[in-house]
Amino acid sequence: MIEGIQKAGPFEWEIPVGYTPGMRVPGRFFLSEELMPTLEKGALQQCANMATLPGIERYALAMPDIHWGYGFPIGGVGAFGMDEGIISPGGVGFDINCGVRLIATPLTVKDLGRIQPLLSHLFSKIPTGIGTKSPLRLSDQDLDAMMIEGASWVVNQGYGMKRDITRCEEQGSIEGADATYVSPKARARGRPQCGTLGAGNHFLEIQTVDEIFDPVAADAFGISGGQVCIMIHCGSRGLGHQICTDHIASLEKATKKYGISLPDPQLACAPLTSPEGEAYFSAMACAANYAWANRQMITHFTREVLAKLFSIDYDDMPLIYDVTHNVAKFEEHMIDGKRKKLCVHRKGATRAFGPGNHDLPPGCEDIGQPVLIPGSMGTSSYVLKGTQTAMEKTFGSTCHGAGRVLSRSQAKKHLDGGEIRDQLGVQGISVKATSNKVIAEEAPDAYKPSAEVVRVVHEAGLSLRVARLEPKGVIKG
Amino acid sequence: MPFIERDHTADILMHVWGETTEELFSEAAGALFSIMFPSCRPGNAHQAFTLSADSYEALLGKFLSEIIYYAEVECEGYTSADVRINGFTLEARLSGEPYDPARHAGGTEVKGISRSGMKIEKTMRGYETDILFDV
Repeated sequence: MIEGIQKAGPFEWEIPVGYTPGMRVPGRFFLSEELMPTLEKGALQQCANMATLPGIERYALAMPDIHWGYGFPIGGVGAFGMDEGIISPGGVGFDINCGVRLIATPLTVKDLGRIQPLLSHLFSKIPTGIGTKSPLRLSDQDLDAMMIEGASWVVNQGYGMKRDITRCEEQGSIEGADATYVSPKARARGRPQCGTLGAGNHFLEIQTVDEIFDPVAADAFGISGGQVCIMIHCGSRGLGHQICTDHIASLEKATKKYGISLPDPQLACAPLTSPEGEAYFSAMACAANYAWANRQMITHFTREVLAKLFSIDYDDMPLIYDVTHNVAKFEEHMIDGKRKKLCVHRKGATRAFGPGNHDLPPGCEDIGQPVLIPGSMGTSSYVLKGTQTAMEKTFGSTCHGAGRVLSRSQAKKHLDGGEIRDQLGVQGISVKATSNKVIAEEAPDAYKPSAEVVRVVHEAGLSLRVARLEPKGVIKG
Repeated sequence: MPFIERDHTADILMHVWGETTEELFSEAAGALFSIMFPSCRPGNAHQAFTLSADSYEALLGKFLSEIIYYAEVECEGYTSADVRINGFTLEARLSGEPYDPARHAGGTEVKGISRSGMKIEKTMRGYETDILFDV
């Protein structure tokens, strides 16, 4: 075990103030004894670094998929008060509103038949990989509207159902987006990419519901055993990447201007109430809304393919939910018995609001928010529900996925993409990817076991298991 | 090759060096090309631009970000970067070929250049730095 950390509960660990100079609050992370060997010193240091930021409330938090990133660790959650708090792109990442959505279908695995033709149709309909462009031709006005209205703009253009909006976190758009803070470069990158999946760890997966743990919640979410579902994982594409790049440069200057000392330049930040902080938030919100629009567009393409191939109704493929796992947002949380507005940064962490909170989809008010946790390629994904414990301990947050254990270079060195494709084939999982290299980099062995990560958040009460889904086919960029 | 990949769990960490700052910047671009465009060849795609910043680290971050920008909007894959540096102002000329998703698959999309751990240092072999590419 790494020196200097203390056990704070069965699945909870504390990084005491003093672990790194300048910590304002302790760090807290959630991990099982089984996952302890996967904890990296670099990730722990990044969690401690978060705790040095001005205005951080209660704890610098990390979820059990914690791993070494830049700025915040992946799996990091930090909430900042409005008076002294800051906002930092290091707590969001380049891929603003990278997120996950799950779409139900009326199909069972028997209806699917051979999966390869379906994958090929989806692969040719949804632009996937580097250098691919959307079939949509957006004007500057369209892009503006998309960045302000998010998923609902896409639905209003005829690419979805009104109900979809109620099944997105924040109804698919954050308030406060202002396109005047989005550079011409970011616009040039965003215009041709709406409805594209991208590359790397992004994917579209065909899954079946293999196990229901909580029938009441599953019913409220609209999930049933044996059902085929589609999971989409992607973000704000080049638009979000450019917004992060542009604003890091201006926030580096702001960090100096406001006399904030940082242990890592990637934590460049500005007070929430400063012009630089507000500019970053307004632009980041544009990227977040664009990402919701992007996932909505991909949902439309997916529904069209399925409707045609299986003669099913477009309307019979409801959205179960859509979550973001790279974002900074204003939320109200209880601090020392008082309701307080905070800027919650989640970098590789998912919101998991418990029953009775605002922004829960219709029918889920007494259940809690649907939480979607994708597995790595070839492993189980999970649907969970948010809890009151998460509200009390983690500003309503839980893990976002399995979390890497092997670097991409190690994965490529030790794993063979072609062999992995064959092994997955034997398990009944088909993969369609732009290259074997991406299969090696994203291989199941490069990640922590998703079941163990989910067990930790379940046992720690940060979110509770509702259903387990198994992959049948996957498309990767 | 004047760059090597170091282990990093989430992203790609490269250590880059060059005898001069110009060479360091050019090799840093080479490291980026090796990630994004491993199968692109020299050709008739060219871009030229000028940038300024207030430190070498900020300039390097800006330079590599600019390459990502041009690659995406011009749909090109680069293989070399010629760099001239005067103070904290840089003139660059990129060369490569039009990017064809079908022919050039196998590269990794770089989302951004992290400033984490980037520190240009003068050493025995010239100038060196780590660069973390978010992928």
